[in-house]
Amino acid sequence: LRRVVKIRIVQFLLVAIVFLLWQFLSNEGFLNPIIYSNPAAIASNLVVVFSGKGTVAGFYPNLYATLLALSLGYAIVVVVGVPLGIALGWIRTFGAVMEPLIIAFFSIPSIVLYPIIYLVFGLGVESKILFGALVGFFIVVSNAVAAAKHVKREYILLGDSLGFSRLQTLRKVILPMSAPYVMTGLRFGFSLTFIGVVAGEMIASTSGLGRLVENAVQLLNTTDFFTLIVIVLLIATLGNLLLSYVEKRMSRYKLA
Amino acid sequence: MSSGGGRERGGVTTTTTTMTTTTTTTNTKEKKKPKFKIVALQGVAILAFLLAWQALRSLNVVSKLFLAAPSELLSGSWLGVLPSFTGALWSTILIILVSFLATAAIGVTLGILLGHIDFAFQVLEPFIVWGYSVPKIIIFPLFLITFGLGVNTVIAYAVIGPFFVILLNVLSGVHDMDKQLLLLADSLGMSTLEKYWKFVLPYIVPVTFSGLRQALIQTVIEVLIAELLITTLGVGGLINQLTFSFETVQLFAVVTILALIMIFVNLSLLKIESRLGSWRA
Repeated sequence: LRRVVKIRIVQFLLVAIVFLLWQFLSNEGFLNPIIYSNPAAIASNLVVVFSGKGTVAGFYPNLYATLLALSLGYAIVVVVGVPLGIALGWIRTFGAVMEPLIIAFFSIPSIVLYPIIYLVFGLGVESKILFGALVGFFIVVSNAVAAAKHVKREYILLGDSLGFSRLQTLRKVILPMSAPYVMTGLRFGFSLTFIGVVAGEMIASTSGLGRLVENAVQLLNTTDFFTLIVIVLLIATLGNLLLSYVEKRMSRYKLA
Repeated sequence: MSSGGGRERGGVTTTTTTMTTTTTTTNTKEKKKPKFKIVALQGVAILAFLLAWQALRSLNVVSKLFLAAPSELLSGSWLGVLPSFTGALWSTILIILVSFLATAAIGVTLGILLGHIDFAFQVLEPFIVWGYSVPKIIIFPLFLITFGLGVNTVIAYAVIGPFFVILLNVLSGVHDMDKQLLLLADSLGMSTLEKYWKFVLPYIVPVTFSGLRQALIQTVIEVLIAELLITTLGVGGLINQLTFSFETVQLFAVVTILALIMIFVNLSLLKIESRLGSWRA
């Protein structure tokens, strides 16, 4: 237990040193504050931005646009990815046919598909949703496939000998046994979906936090720029922490 | 590959490997007979995909301004883009190789050094996982401001992105190593260097390879993103230019060629990876 405390202290110190060094270099003029801002300015600007004032135009509508794209994109990933992955892992022939094709398709660097997506779907929220879903999809599917494949034969046989129907086997054996591993995929899937959404916004989109970041840079308003970065990183971190918590709770159901 | 154990830490990496290794093992276990049926069904699936894609154009669901059909790609009306594409491709591949070698060198070295120190591993792991999982594209403008509108920006950005995947894989490889092997090495009176050369390095080869494969894909993505955002360089710049001048057939041709190249590269590397995985066991 002492070791854990020690680790936390060192981690805290590392973060503190980075911020203090940044502030120090900025104060002493080694880092141009117009380009690299500084933590104190960013922290106070954070309050201003969240109160809806300041120089960030339309913060809340754009925050909403990003969160909307994120949640709808992630919803697609969860609703399509998990059942597809389970089916691929569970139904042998289906998996044998489709899995290599899916691996091949997702070998394509997702970013080259984004121009095609926004040509077809426009620069609105639809493109971001689809691109986010595309980026987050594979990790969720592949984890679900691996999870369903690794359900022990003995448990499925046990179900058979109890006279389970296919549906019962799915509900009582496959799903509960895969859940913890599927959850790991869902955690990474969330991060990647968010990466996709933000990337879409930065490259070509009419709204969202990524757009605001680009605007702030063009106006060379670096304090706004860093403040928005902090907000984006906060969203990513909070989402990840929440899903890690769920994952940890679920891993209790892992069987050796 | 230990199938269950590695999955919590660095979940991305280990699960993808388990997935592929299991495919190959089941393939060899099953009889050769149904393999033909599977390939035939795969052919049907690909054909269905192409037909659906063609139908979107033939039935005019999407305007030809925005979507090129497979038939148009086959007709070769895009061949005019080839000279500028091969030029751009060459410079992009060079940038990808330079960035990848740099990340690989830094990532593997740091991973081995840090993996050796348990305490450092435990302190840094959350930061590395965090660095892996946040959208790094958001700090791209910072690179632009610092390194200018050129190749330097692309390389710097493409070195940072994939760094975390490599580090995560190498670290967990060294960390998960069988402690008894190390004890054995100690009892044989090996020096630290010898221990690394004969035990640690061979042990982490499969995990490292997996990390490097993912990092290479990531490098390709980051380089293309940087080029798209800078809009004038390499293949990303070309894609950007074709998109905004609505040269849709040429755009689709370029994307299709890139897609085929990357499918080939990734599948080949996956094959090697699954070989390496079984070799260690």
